[in-house]
Amino acid sequence: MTTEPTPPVGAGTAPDRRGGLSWRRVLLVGAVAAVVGLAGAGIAGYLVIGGQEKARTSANCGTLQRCIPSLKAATVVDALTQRGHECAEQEQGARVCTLAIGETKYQALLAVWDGLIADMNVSVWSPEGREVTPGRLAYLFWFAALPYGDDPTLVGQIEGWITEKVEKLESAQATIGGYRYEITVEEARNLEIRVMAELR
Amino acid sequence: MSGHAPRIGERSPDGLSWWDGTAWRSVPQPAAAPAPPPFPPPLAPPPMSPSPQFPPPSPPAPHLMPPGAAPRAKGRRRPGKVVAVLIAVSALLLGACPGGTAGVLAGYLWVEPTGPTTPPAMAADFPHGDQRYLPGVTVRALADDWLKKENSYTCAAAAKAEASGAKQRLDCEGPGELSLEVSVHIEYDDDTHVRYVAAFCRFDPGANYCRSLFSGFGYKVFEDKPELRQQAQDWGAKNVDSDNVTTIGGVTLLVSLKPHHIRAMPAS
Repeated sequence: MTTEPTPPVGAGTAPDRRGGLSWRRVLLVGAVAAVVGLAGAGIAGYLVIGGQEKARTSANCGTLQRCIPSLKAATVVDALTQRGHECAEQEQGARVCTLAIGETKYQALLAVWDGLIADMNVSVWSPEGREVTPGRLAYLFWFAALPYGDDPTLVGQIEGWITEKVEKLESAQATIGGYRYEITVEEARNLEIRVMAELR
Repeated sequence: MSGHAPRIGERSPDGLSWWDGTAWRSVPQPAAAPAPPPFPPPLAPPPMSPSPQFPPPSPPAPHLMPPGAAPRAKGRRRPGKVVAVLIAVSALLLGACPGGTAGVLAGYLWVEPTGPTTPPAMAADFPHGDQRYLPGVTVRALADDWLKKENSYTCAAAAKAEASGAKQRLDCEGPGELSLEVSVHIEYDDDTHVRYVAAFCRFDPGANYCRSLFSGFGYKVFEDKPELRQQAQDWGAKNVDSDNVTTIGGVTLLVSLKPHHIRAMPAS
């Protein structure tokens, strides 16, 4: 008994070498290309934008603000409390820390978002302040350096800028390291500095 | 025509015929779209016998078909390489759009910069809670010893310590008629934590009582610091009728004429 010969696999469906690729193969290549494009662009976009975000000095928080990254407001409050400052929580999670030495009032208001500091308003007020003491400058320096406590270069820039404005008794604004600084100097009686991250 | 023999499948110079190995055969032309007949179709002609010179054309064998001359009845046309590349590039770009958008969003939303997790160290000059108090000054030494025992003042607790934010305040007044002219105010948290002391003297400038009060004030504030006590005492006496301020041993002494008083507080 003889068996009927099995036709060779692919017989009758062999690609036409003169007519190009089959539609099925072209569509398969297209699908692969789409997946490659999706993944490649996704990874590239993530790496590029992620790299830019990683290099920034402020973190996303809320819709129209940015925060000091990594540094929890509670950590700052703890440091101040250990130094004898009195801290309290206000509406919307804001923290206010005060210290009165004689008639000199030190006050720091921290706007907090999800545990991070979004805005700082720091002031030293003394009705009879006739000179800016080292203690008052140290107070302003410390808060101004919170975003970059580990960057001596930026810390030096900020301290130099504050010192210059206080010596000149001059109110001014500046952007240093991605943060907006506004200093108000009313003679030596009232020193106030506001620190907030730039949106872009 | 050139002298060489045409190859099988080769087209004629006018492109209308192709060589089947033995003779030139017509290349099938693309069928025109059928148009509605303007008139009723003519009657079918009488059947004719096929001419022996022009047999009905039959499709050539597949291996003899010229390129691009496959009859439409065989199915869809296969895509060329150019079409395949275009499709692949288009698909790549189509995939890149949502992929890139998603990647950008993910990078923006999920990647966060890192910074210091602890605040910088505080400088030695950074204000400390312990600086709120006048060093070595006690309520007992001021109120009990100096004012009550030595000068017959009467003291009473006040409602609020406004100047320094201390927990308590003691107001002491001079004896008899002096109660309207002289008073001393002490703001403190407890006996050994005094934040602020002020002595008011409402006599006209030049009055000896005010000089004595301000001088004694300087002495008592620095009573436990012999090396500074005399300096503070002298400064109070000298500046009694002026507006002046000084800092001695971490304590600020301030004299003012309106209202006429001297006050002591920690320097800051």
